[in-house]
Order: sequence, then C-alpha cells, then structure tokens
Amino acid sequence: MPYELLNQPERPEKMSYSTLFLLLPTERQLDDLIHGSRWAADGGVSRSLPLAELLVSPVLFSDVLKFSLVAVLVLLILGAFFTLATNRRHVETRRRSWASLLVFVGFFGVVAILGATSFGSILQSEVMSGYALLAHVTAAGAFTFLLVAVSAMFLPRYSQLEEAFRFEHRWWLARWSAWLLMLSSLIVAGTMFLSMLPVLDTNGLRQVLEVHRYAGLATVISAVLTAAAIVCTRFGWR
Amino acid sequence: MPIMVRLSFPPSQGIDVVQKARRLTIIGLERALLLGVVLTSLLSSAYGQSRYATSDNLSGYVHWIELYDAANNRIAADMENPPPYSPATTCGRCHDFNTISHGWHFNSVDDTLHGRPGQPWIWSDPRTGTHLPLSYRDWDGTLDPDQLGISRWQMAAKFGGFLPGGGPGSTESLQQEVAPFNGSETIDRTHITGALPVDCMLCHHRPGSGYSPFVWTEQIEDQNFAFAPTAALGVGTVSGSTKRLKDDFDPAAEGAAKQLPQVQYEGERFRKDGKVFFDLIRTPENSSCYYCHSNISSNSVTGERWLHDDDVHLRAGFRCADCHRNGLEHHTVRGFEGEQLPAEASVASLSCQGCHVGDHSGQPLEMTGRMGAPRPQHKGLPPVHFEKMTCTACHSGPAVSPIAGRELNSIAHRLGTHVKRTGNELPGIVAPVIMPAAEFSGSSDEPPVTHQARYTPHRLMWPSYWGTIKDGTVTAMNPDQAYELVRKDLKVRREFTEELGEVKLSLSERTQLLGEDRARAKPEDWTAEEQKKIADAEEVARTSQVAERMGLALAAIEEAMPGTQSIYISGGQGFVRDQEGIKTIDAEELKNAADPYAWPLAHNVRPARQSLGATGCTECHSDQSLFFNAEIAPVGLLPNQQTTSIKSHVLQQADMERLGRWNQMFQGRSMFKVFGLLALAVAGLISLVMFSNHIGSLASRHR
Repeated sequence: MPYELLNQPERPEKMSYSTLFLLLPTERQLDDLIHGSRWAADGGVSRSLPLAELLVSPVLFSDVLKFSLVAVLVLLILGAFFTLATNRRHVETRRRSWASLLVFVGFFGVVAILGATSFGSILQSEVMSGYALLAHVTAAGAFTFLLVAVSAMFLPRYSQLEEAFRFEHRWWLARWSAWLLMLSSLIVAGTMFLSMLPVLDTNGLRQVLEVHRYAGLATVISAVLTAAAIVCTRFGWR
Repeated sequence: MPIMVRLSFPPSQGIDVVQKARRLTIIGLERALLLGVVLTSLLSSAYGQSRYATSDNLSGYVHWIELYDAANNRIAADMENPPPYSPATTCGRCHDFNTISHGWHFNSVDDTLHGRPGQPWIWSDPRTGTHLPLSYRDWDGTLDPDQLGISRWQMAAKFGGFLPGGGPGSTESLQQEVAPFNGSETIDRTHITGALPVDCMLCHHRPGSGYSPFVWTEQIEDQNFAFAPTAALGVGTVSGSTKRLKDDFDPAAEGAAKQLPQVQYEGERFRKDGKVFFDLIRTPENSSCYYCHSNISSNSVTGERWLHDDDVHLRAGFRCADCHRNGLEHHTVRGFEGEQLPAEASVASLSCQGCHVGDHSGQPLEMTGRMGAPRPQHKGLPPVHFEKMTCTACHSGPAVSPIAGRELNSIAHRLGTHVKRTGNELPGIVAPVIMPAAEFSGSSDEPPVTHQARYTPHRLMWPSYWGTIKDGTVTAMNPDQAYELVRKDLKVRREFTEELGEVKLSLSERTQLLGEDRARAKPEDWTAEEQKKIADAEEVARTSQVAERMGLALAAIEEAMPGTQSIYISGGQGFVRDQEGIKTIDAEELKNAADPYAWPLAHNVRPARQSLGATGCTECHSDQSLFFNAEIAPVGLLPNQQTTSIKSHVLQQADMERLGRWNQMFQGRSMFKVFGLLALAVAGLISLVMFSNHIGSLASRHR
C-alpha cells in the first residue's frame, strides 16, 4: 500500500480518535477502501497523494447509508404490521399549542431538508456540492436554533414523566427515539460548529466530518422513528 | 560493451565418455558465459552509469580534464587554428552523454513526453506584431512549429540562447524534415552552423567561476553554435559570426575556413599536461536555473525589484534542484501532483503536497517531511478547499490584485540581454490568473480526474499572429511568410505597434490647426489647447493610417493565397479587411483561434501569513473578492486597440449567481458562530437536565 491518508499521524499505528466511535473506520481502513485497488494498479510509484479524493470519497459511508435507509424502511413496515396487530386503546394526550406544533413540524422539515440535501447528493453523485450544499448549510442554521426550541418544548419533563410512567401510556419507542434524536442532533450541530472554529487541523476536520455524517444519519433515522411513534400515538394505535 | 566469445567444439566421430563429459562441461561453460553476457548487458542498460567510473565521494570530483573537439581529437593550447571544444566528447568520456542529452531539458521534440502544460516557446517577431505560443509537446493552445513550417534549425537559433543545447537543435532533430508551409521555403542553415551542442556547464558551472551564460546566448545569437561552449566557459575567445555568412555558404569550400569563427585559447588556462580546470558542481545552483527560469513582475525593471521577496524555500536555504532534481537520465522533476517520470523513480514526495502532507509508508525517500518540511495545520479551513484548489492557488505567485499584473520572463523577454526595459515588453504575459488547472493533454502521465480541474494560478498570454480563414477555420501563418507578404504595406522596420501608429502632421496640417505662426513653434512651446488640437488630429490620422496599412497588408495575403480571407489576431480579437480598412471580429466568432494560452505557475511561494485567505473566509467569499473578480486585460498590439477586460470568474466558468448566494452565508458569520454556540449550549443543558430527570424518574419507578 503506497499511500496513507493526508496528515497521517506521526505514529501510523497509533489509534486515531475516530475509532472511539464504533462504526467509524480508521484512517488506514479508509485509505485501503478508497485507494487500495486503484492506486495499487498504478504500481504505487511516482504519484503524489490524491488529497482531494481522500476528503470526499464516501465509499464506505454511502454503503452504510444505503443499508440504513433500507433497514429503516423494513423496520417501519414491520413495525406498522406489529403495531396494528397489537393495537392498544387510544389515550388522550394533552394538545399542544399551534406555535409549538409549528416548531415541531419546522424541526422535522429542516431535518428532512438536511437529509435530502446531504444523503441525496451522496447517493446521487457521491459528493455534496452546488445548490444542495448551499441549501444544507442554510438549513443547518435553522436546525441549530430550532433545536433549542424543541429541547425546551418537547423533551418529556419530570411531571409528564411521572404521569406517563404511572399510567404506562408512554410508548418506549416515542421516549427513546426522542432522546436519540436529541443526542444525535446535539452531536451533528456540535461537530458543525466545531469545524467552523480555528481549532482543528485538516486531519481533525476530516474526523469531525466523519462523525458529523454518521451523527446526521442517526438524526434522520431517529427523526423518522420519532415521527412514526407520534403518528402511531396520534392515531391511537399505541 | 562486454565481449561475447563463442566457444565451438569440433564435431567428431566416436566420442568416448571422457570426451563426452568434457564436451558437456564446455557446453555448460558456454551457456554460463552467454548468460553472464546477457545479464551484464541487461544490468548495463538498467544502470547506465555503471559503464562509467565514478568517484562517489560527497566532496565532489575535481575536474582537471583534457579538452576534445567534436571529432574527438585532443585540443592543445598552442594548436594552430584550434577547434572549439565539444562537451559531448570532453564530458562524454566519463559521463553517459547520450542518456543525459535526452532528459527533460533536451527532449522537447520528443513526441512521447508531454507532461503538464508549461511555458511555451513564444515566437516573437516585433516587425509583424507576432507572438505565437509554440511547443512540440501536445499542449492545448500551442502550435506545433513543424506544422507552421518553422524549421528545427530556426527554433534552435531563436531559442537556443536559453536552452542548454540539444532539443530542436540536436543532430537527430535537425535531420527531421519540416514540410514547407504554403510553398514557402523553410530556413535551415545547419550545413553552416552544425547542431546546437549540449553544454553541460550552462547548468553545472559554479557561480563566479567565470562561466557566462550571457556569452552563451550571445554566441547562439551569432549562430556560433559549436563555439558557444568554449566562449561561455571562458577558456578561449571566439571571434567572428556565422550569422554573417550567406545561406549558400559552403564550409568545405577552399578558403571557407577563414570566414568561420576563430578560437583563441587562453594559454594560462592549460596546465603543462594540457589539462584544463573545469570549476563545476554536481547540483546546479539557483543562479544557473534563474538564467532561463526568471519570472519577474514588470515593475521589477522600473526600480521596484528591491521590494520583492524570494520564494520562501530559497529563503530557508533551499536550492531549486533540491526539489527539481534528477538522476543521470536528467528527467528533472517538475514537481506537480501526479507527475510520473519515464524512469519510474518515485517523485511523490517532491511535490508541495507530497513533501508537506505526504505519508510515511513508503521507502525513506518517498516519505513526507523531507528536508524539514513542516506539516500545515490549516486550522478551521474546511477540507473541501483541498478538493477545489491546489496548494499553489493560495500560496504561490504574486498575490492576487484587482488587475492581473504584467510579467517578464527570461526566455520570452530575453532577460539577460542588456537593454533598457519599460516593463511593458511584449509578449504580454499576465499573472496570476487563478482558474481550473489546464488539462493534461495527450500526456503519458495522465493524472486522476480530481487533479485536473482544481483552481491553480496561471500565467497567461494572448497570441497575436497573421493567419487565414477558410471554411470558418483560422490557420496561423508561418511568421516569416507573413513578414514577406505584409512588410511593404505595413512599412514597419522594427516595432509593429510603435511604428504602425507613428504619425507626424505635416506643416500644412499643423498650419491649418494652429495658424501659420504657431505651426512652426516647437511642440514644447505649444499651449495645452494647441497640444490637444495636435493630439486629436494625430489620433484621427493614426486611426486612418492603421486601417489603411492593415487593410493593404491583409489584401496582400489574400492576393497571395486565393480563396482565403486573411486575418490578424491580437488581444483576443480578430481583424479582417473591409471597405473602410479593417473591422473587428470578436473572439466568439473565431472559435479558439484568439483564445489565450495559460500555463500553471508554482513560484514564488509566499509565506503562510501572506497566503490567500490568511485574513479570513471573506477574502474569497465576498462579492468583490479578487479570487473571482480580478480583472485580466488582454494585451492588444494594434495601436489604440480597444480590448475587453475579463473577470477571472469568466475564465473559471464559475456560477456567479450561486457564488453570490454562497457569499451571503458569510455575512455575519462571526455572530452566527456566537449565537449558534450559545443555542447549542442551551439545548445541551436543557437536554442534560431533562435526561437527568428522566433517569431519576426511571430509577424511582423501579424503586
């Protein structure tokens, strides 16, 4: 293998911090995946590092993305059958104000835009660019501020929890998908802001980019699950 | 060459066992010897240097050597009519001259080696306003001298002063027949001058040793090809000029030798044993490279040279040859990403990226960080920039300015010849022009796609030439042929723009404007109003004169080439004949004929704090950023030619609407970061509190 990634740590065998995140590949693994066959075909001589390719080649991520989207789709279908088959009585929950509903719908809309512009681009052309990137960055700003509103309005408060647990009305999927949504959203927004600060070098930024897109994927999946849970609850199937 | 010995064995009848065994032994010996010969030959070809003894001492070899002429005869100082020394036979005694003389600096006529587009040979003929980018390499936008009917000898004579010899002037190149262009004779004086010799000392002389590249250039200009190495080395003086000899001169004729240049060797340079000291160095010094590779901004020649800085690498103690190095085969590393050498040596760590951000996985000589190269941090710079731009886009060349500045360089502007310069000498080369890298064209070292379109700083020139249009296609004319056809009507003797626009009002015309008394006054005595009247009248006369002479010149071409429309191209525009003289044709109608030729630049490398974007994102991501909005002004050669400046985003083919929207994202970015981080902190805090409650609730439930 003639090449390694840009800004390879001084000690190549040292574990990079991306390995702390379970699914993330190490730099060497990425390098193998991205350049293994292609560069080996060149005989591995007289080539300088393909810097540009390292940064945008989502070979692994696009596979994960496709698998995840299929898995979520399958889960939703199976979940729908399961939910309908084990239909429970409808429990009246407290109605939200129109403003808070607007925030909630807005938040889900922004997540949809972010998902479509990023994953859509990656699935289509393997890179984010042009107006898709522009829309993604614009929506990202809205996402950050809506996150505050959503956290304040929709996370289950103690009193509600007490009530919910007491009557065992709160579906576990609704609760935990909401928490997963919040956690992944915080990570996805946090990595975005971290990359905007003059803190990380190129290598660090690349690692953060990896974290950002996996966190983004988690955000989209958890948003879908949350929405499904809400739909089930609203229609009285759970 | 290894000696091959064929061992034979006489045929015999009734060979006994002993004889059989002996024969088998000899056959085995024969085969072993043959194998040895083959292996030796293979190794010799693989390691060309192995044929020659080397000192291999890092202190370098002290060259007290004998001089030999082209016929391989030893030269003595006291010879009568001594010949010039020949580097091929003198240096070639110990060095593989044949291998060396096919390296990058010598192989421009080689059809198989193209590489990344580079600086062309710019054929300038100031009499006709011609500046044609030429190259034998397959670089889009350049013209092939062979196809233009410019002989190899002409190329050697024109550009040999800034070549270390060989190339188009090599013996094998000069044997290449160039087809006449439109019936015009090609100019070839090889029978008088001989081939252009490779002069090793042009690069390998020690600065201050007395070797003069300026003398080399002077000798080539005098067409004293064979004498140039001797004169430049200073080991002898050369008198006479081959240039003065007529084309039909026969060097073999009786008495002809006296008309050829004469050499007089400096006796004190020869030791008693006839050896001469060559003060040379293995690795060329920067000054040697600079002789042909100087690129200076135009204001450097008008007194501002002291304000300019060196390349940061040179300031750090580097030599050009530390990165642009080569082995015996002299395939000098050009240093761009994706470069491949014919010898397949690894040059990955000799580009900006390879040296500063490469890897540690290869052999020691392929590792990053060579010679102490620091690894750039680029903190906070989104990695997408490396996908879109080369290192040089931000770090190399003159800083971007509102209008791309003019540059002069050694070969195109013959820096080294002693003349007074204004900085506006032609051809007009402008830099930096940041645009997607010129594509590799027909190159054997085709790079990955991602390397082809990254923003790269370029030098750029607009070609100017005479040509013909047939079936909507413009064809450039041979410059000499064009001169022969247009010289009578242009009435230009030396400098096209200046002389074509030179007008002087007659006394009667001045009288008509200023009255009889004032018309005879000296121009400096005229009032401002009078001067304006004269200037306006001259302007009218100039326009008329240019139209008339150009119209006649274009007509002369059409007369000589029936069935074609003649055209003069300059500054991105074309000029053709019409009833009123000439009319302008825009570049769009000319397809690519008037397009500029651009080639990437990489030096001087500026300090990191002076790189593009060092002051923040908005240096480029703003509506008026120079990265996208620097003006590039075509250099037109016709007097008063109105050229249209273009913005760099036009050459970049950038989507300015999208860029405009993108730039809006950078308005108030600092505030967004502050409020965004605050929002994130609040959301995180709320979530943390809520989650604690949630966990607490779960715990209490289980209790």
